[in-house]
Amino acid sequence: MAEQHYPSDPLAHDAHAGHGAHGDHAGPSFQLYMYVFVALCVCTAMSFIVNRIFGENNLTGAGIIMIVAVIKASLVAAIFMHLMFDWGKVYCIVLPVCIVTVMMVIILSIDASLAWHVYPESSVPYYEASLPAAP
Amino acid sequence: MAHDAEQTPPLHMGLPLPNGKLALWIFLVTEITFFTAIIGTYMLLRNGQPSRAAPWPSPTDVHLSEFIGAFNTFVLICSSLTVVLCHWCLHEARSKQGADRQALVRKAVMYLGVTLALGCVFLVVKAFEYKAKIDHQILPGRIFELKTENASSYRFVRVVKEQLEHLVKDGPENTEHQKAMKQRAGQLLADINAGKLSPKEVNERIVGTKNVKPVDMPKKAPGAAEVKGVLQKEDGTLDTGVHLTYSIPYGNLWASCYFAMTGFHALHVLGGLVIFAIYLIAALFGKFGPESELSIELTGLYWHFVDIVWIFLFPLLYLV
Repeated sequence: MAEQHYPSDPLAHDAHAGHGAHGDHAGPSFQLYMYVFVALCVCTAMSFIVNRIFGENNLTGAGIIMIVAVIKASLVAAIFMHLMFDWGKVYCIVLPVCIVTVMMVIILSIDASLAWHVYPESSVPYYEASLPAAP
Repeated sequence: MAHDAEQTPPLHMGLPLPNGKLALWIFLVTEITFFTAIIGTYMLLRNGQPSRAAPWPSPTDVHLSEFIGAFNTFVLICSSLTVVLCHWCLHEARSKQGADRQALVRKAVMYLGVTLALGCVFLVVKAFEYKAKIDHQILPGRIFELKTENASSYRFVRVVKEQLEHLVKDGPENTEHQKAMKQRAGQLLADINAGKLSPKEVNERIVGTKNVKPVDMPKKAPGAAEVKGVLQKEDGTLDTGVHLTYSIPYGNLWASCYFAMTGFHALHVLGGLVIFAIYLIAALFGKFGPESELSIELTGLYWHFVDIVWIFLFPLLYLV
């Protein structure tokens, strides 16, 4: 019967594992980091301008701004956090939490939309009807 | 037997990842759940409670400046870049020798210092924002809401009376707007002293009929004239530089959410800055070099996560 070998963990000495930790990839280049930085600045400016154009409490503006936020977060996670290279090693930890995060928002949004509220002004048609007529 | 042993591929325990990186990713996913809970609660409260009659406070109502939020976002993005460049320098230094290696290590230390400085800038700007909130009493439990008339509504009138007395006595009169504001403040103070006004009417006289939220509108006779508020400028907007309280529906809920989210985020930023400071001190004693590459990568992972949280907090609090 073949003996099973359990050599010592090649990554056990973390101080020397830095290079090996990246596996076979060289990591992002300086140029890529700068491109991502510029993209992040452009996205931030875009969010600001969209907010100025659409104003507050506008669904379209809010949707665009949140999509831009997700793009920014994805760029930071993929390039700055090296997830592009390490995804195959850490997805089992990160992915379930991200799924649960999205699920939580979806489930809470049902409660936010459908729950009965305490204050009568939340029942807008009834409250607005009780307001004095506009001058 | 020996031949079989050679053909069996060696087995490795665990993920092909340094232990520190694995541990940090596990920590980061706990932080994801932590901030998801807080931000999810904010989204639930914001979308669930307010209505058209009592809308969620606008940034002007609560003295929130989008410019400051955007500046802070830019500062954190720059700090994310500098920490990742620090790591890149240390990575490159591994394959260099002599003077080139020393130069890259010095560059890494410089990037680390810039990251720490940018983090401090973020916290200083946040401190100024918090001071503005404290000065205007935009704090949880300290904001007056006139949705339901109760004892605090009359405390609102007493607080406004003190502020009006101060404004009438010591308010500046450098511009036409300031003179008109002082005159309207004097008239409002006289009417309050005469006991003519209800809390909602006082609020209307402060912000003007145009700026009163429907839930705060006092009962008026049909055809009643529009009132120009003490704080109202010529263009109809409010002068937010004056210390005069007015009703902010759901203001206390807003303040609770704001301080919870930004407060916890600021504490995380502070934690990251402590770690950067420790590395800088280590660099002073010559204990920082290419062997610190993994440590800096792990610290950078934490810092990027803090940046990602702010990337979501900024639009949720300041923009939408």
